[in-house]
Amino acid sequence: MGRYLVTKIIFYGLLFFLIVLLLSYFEGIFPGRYGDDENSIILQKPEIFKNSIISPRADIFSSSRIDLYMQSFFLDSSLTSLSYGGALVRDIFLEAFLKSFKVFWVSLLFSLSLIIFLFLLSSLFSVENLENLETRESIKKRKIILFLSKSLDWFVDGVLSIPMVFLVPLLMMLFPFIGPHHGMGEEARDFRWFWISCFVSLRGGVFSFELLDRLKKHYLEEPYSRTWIAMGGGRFRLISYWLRPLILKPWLQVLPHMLVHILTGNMLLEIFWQYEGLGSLFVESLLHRDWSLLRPYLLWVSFLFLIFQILVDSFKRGDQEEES
Amino acid sequence: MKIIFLLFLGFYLFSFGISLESSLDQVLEFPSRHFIFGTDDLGRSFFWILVRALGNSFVLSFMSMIVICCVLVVVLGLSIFHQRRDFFLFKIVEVLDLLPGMIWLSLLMVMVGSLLSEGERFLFLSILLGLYHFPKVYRKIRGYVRVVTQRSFIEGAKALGLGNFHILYRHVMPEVWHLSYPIILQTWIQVILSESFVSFLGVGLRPTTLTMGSILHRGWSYFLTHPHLFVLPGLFLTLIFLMFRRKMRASLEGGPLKAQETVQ
Repeated sequence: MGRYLVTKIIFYGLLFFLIVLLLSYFEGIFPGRYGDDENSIILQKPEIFKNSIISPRADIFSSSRIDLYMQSFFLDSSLTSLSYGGALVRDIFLEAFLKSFKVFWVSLLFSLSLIIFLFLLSSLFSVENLENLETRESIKKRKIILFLSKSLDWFVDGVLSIPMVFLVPLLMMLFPFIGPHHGMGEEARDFRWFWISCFVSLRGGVFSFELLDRLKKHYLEEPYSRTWIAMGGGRFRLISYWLRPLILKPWLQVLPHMLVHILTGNMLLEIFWQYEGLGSLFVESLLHRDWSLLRPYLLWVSFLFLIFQILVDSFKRGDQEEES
Repeated sequence: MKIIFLLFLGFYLFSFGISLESSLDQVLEFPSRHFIFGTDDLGRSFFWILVRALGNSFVLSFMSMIVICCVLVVVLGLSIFHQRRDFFLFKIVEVLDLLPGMIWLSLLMVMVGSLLSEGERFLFLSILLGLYHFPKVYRKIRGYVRVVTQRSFIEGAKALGLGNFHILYRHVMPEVWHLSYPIILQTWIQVILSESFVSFLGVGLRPTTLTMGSILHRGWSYFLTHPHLFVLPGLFLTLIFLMFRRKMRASLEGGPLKAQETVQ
């Protein structure tokens, strides 16, 4: 396991190095807007940028250029450079990361609650419960359960079908109190993280629920599950004790990818709520060609993806070893 | 679904015969007898704008699907019976899947897209979207292909000396097609969604190219005063996704799991 992890870390480390080189290539051929704009702080206060690495129009293939670039990452000088707006990159980046981190934790809690709630609902309204309702008196109850079961299916399909691009502004229009400018006061604006977390967890929770529910249904049809039920074993015990590891394993392999997507900021929701998280930071710096902000963002995101990928790989490896 | 699709295709082709030039005396009209979906900010019939945008989005996603299929056939053809090549190509695909795709896609669209004309940009975005969604499709279909290639008739075809691509096309594809159907539907939805997402953020296609993302982006600026410009395209998009999704669910619950068992 240890040797495997070391190999993986070396492999992904090389990939990380390639990303750094690719970034420097981009920066070299597509210089930012520094110097093109009269409002740029570089033109106003050039003395600030004496020791910073900006507007890299130099030849990136020269070894000195790459050395300088690598030095800028590892000696932290890229974080102390200034953004297009003139603020310290380190401050902007840290603030955005902390805001995204807040959304991340809240979304995680909301998602888990939503998954458990939907699971309970699906167990209550499952078609298997109809077996005990064959008498004439319970026809009404049977119809209600069928209706609720179908409603749950439609809810899941609806949430996963409706694009966020449409859903969020529509809800903002119908319920103005969830909007970013409701009340226009500082107190009202503070709830933006709550609404973003709600939407993130709604999509993530329903997606996870669908995956888990499908796996549950699949494993319940397996011969050993049927035998267990035929022998009088409880369905709850079957799912919670025997099927739980089988159902959770595939989800645990998808989970890190979902987590890292939340952690690196949700571009769309943050733009809608004008939330200063990592997602909106990326879009704004991209539209302004603000390389000094894009550089740490991309590196951070790539680094997180690599770490989480190693996590996923170690899960898979653990599975394979267990099976063998 | 087929009838709806053919009807829409007819409307889309017909929309090219209608001039969508701006007329400033009919700007931002609400739905009426003359304009059933109203007019947009340039005074054009919003119904035809919507049809054209939806059609363009479908064309873009269709091109992305072609890119995915081409790359898939080449990769599978090269690696189907070679374990080393398969391992190597799978690692490359794993790396592609590992990269934060939407971020790199936006970055490339802004950097490289600014050097391209509108048509080239359209093509470039479809290629990027295809490459972005390719690893997810490949991972799933590779699993099915590996199951099928262990069967005896494939061994027989190999013993007869047939080429990899021939075996893939004549013997593997028919076995895998019904399993891949829901995956293709899902990817189709995802491509349209990604396009609307990227264009909505303003880093995809320019607003002059009519796609669902661009008209949603434009409608958003008017959604407090003229909500129909935003609600109608969003509603259409949702209905289409829901239709695709129900179809996918039906095929997934009816077919693949049971079909996979019979294959195994």
